[in-house]
Parts: sequence; C-alpha cells; structure tokens
Amino acid sequence: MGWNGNLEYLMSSLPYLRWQVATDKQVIDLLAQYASVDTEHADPMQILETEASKYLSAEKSMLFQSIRLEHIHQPIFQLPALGRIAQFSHFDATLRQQIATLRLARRANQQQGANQSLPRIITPGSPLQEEMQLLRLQWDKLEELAIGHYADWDALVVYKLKLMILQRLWSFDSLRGMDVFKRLTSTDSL
Amino acid sequence: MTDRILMNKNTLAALKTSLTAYREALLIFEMKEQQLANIVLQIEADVMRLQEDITQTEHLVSQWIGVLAEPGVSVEQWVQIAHIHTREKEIVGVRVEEFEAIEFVAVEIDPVATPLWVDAAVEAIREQRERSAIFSVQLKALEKLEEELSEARRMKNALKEVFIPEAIDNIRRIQIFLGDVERLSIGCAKLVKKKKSRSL
Repeated sequence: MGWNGNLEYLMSSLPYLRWQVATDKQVIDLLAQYASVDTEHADPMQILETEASKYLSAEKSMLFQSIRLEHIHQPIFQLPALGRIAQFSHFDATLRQQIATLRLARRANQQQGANQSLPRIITPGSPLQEEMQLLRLQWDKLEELAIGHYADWDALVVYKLKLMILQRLWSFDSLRGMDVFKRLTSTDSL
Repeated sequence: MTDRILMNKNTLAALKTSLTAYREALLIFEMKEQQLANIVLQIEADVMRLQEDITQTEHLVSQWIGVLAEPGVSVEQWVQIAHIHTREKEIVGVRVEEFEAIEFVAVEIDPVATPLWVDAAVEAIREQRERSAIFSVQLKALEKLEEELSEARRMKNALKEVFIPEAIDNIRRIQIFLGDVERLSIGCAKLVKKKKSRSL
C-alpha cells in the first residue's frame, strides 16, 4: 500500500471517540498532548491530519485531507476504489436525498398549505434534536463500517469522519447560537 | 404686556374675540390631548406585547438555537431584508408610518447541500425580524405621537393657565376703566348742567 510508517502506532495513540453530546475535553487534551501543542489553541482536525500525514503516502495524505463531512456525499468520493469512503459517501448521499425530500415536503406543507405525508427518516423534533438524530445515523453507519478495522487506512478514515461528526455536535453551542440569533434579529440589524 | 394694552372699547372687543377663540382652541386641544393619550396608551400596549413576543420567541428558540453556532454555515444570505413596506396614516392630525409587510431577498436554500436545521432557523429568524420591524415602526410612531401629545398638553396648559386668565383679567380691567370714565363723564355733564341752570 506504500505506507510511510506504522498506522498501528498512530491509531493506538489517538484518543478513543465515543458518542457524547457535550464537548469531550479529554479528546482535545489527548490530541494536543500527542501533538505537543497548547490545548487552548489545539485544532483536533489539524492535529489528526498532520499526524496522519507522517504515516501516509503523499497521495493518501492528500485524499485523507480532502475528506470533509459536508462534502463526503459528492460523486468524487464514490469511486469503488475508495472502499469505506465510497460506502459512506453513498450512504450520506442517500441520506441527504431523503432529507431533501423531507424538507421539500415540509416547505410545500408550510407555504401552500398542502398536506403531504412526510417521509419518516427521523422523529420530528426541534432542529437540534433532528440534527442530532442525523449525526447519530451517520455515526452508527461509521461504527458499522469500522467493524474489523482497527489500525488500517479504513479505520483512520472512519476515525476522521467520526471526529468531524463530534466536532459538529460540539459546535452546537446555545450561547454562541443565541448571540448570532440576537445579532440577526435586533432592530439595529434592520 | 398687560400694562401696555390700550384701555379702550376697540381693545375690549378684540380681547373678547380672542377670549372666545382661546376657549374654542382649549376645547380642541383638550379633545386632541384626550384622543392622543388614548392612542398612545394603545400603541404602548402593542409595543409591550411585541416586546413580550420577541422575548418569548427568544426563550422558545433557546432550546435549539445552538445549531446557529455551527462554523461554516452562515444563514445571513437567507434572511436579508429587501424592503420593509410601510404606509402613511393620519392619527389625530399626526402623520405616522404603519407597517405593511416585510420582503426578504429571495435566495434559494439548497436542501441537499445545507444542513436540515437551516430551514427552521431561517424561518425563525425571518419571523423575528418581522416582529422587530413592526416593533421599530411602532416605536417611531409612538415617539411622534408622544411628541404631539406633549405639544397638545403644552398648548392646553398655556391656554388654560395663561392666555384665558390674562384675557379675562384684561377685559375686567378695561371694563372697570371704561366704567370709571363713563361715570366721570356723567358727573361732569351733571355739573355743567347745574352750573348752566344757576347762571340762567
């Protein structure tokens, strides 16, 4: 495969990721310690990419860096040669299509007073609850894809995607969100 | 001013005309004050209700508003205001703006590329921006009406406390003066008549 180093060492050094709604300081601390950087200024994703690049070929490293949760559904990631990435990309593209159908049906119901039945992909809830359900679906799919892979390329890709899911989850900060809401809705903003 | 008035019948007539006009104006200003006070109270209640709605919405969205903190997703492009439509309305002679509608810049939200929460967040922000726009328009109208109410009160008080009492006082003084002059002229005429009859 042309590895530049031992992925087992990297994978065993990375903090264990578990589904946790509140920010897991331990994960950030461990990654910061691993890269010997200040915890306050640590960017977990940057650390992971930098550390992984030490063990990957230039080509794989570029591919690894190009993986982004928000773009993973794009056809470029669905080439059969990409293995687990392609599998997850297909899954995400399908999920996004289902969600798009749900959103369009909701809009039609709201704007035109239509009474379309909504696709049952998730349990209706608040935007945060629904987003968490979607992240959980992605997380569970990654758990499934990771079966049998502990210290190889697929495990590393799954690790990155899981870390990105957690980062999205941890970014949902009610205080900062409320600041944005108030800034956009204040009378000064008109 | 009162010392300089001319103590004659013309001034008396002019003062009486002014007094009638002052009394009519007082009635008008009293009525205007009453009407404006009622409308101000009504708009104050509307503004308070809007403020409560805004606070209540903030409380409701606080359960999920954390999604807006997600980096890389900016909802601003979907909540930009194109125009706030208002129309001019006359309330008790005061021209104020009244909210009609709010128009947002039409930018399509891609249901595949954007997160699911964007739809609900954009809707909530748009609704809240509409409330803020109504609030802002109402507040401006309220300021204008309150200013007009103060002016009506000032005019009412000036008429009631200064102009009318002053006119009444001046009328009284001229009437006394003219009475004295009349009595004096009658006395003189009698005296002249008596002297004339004695000399005959």
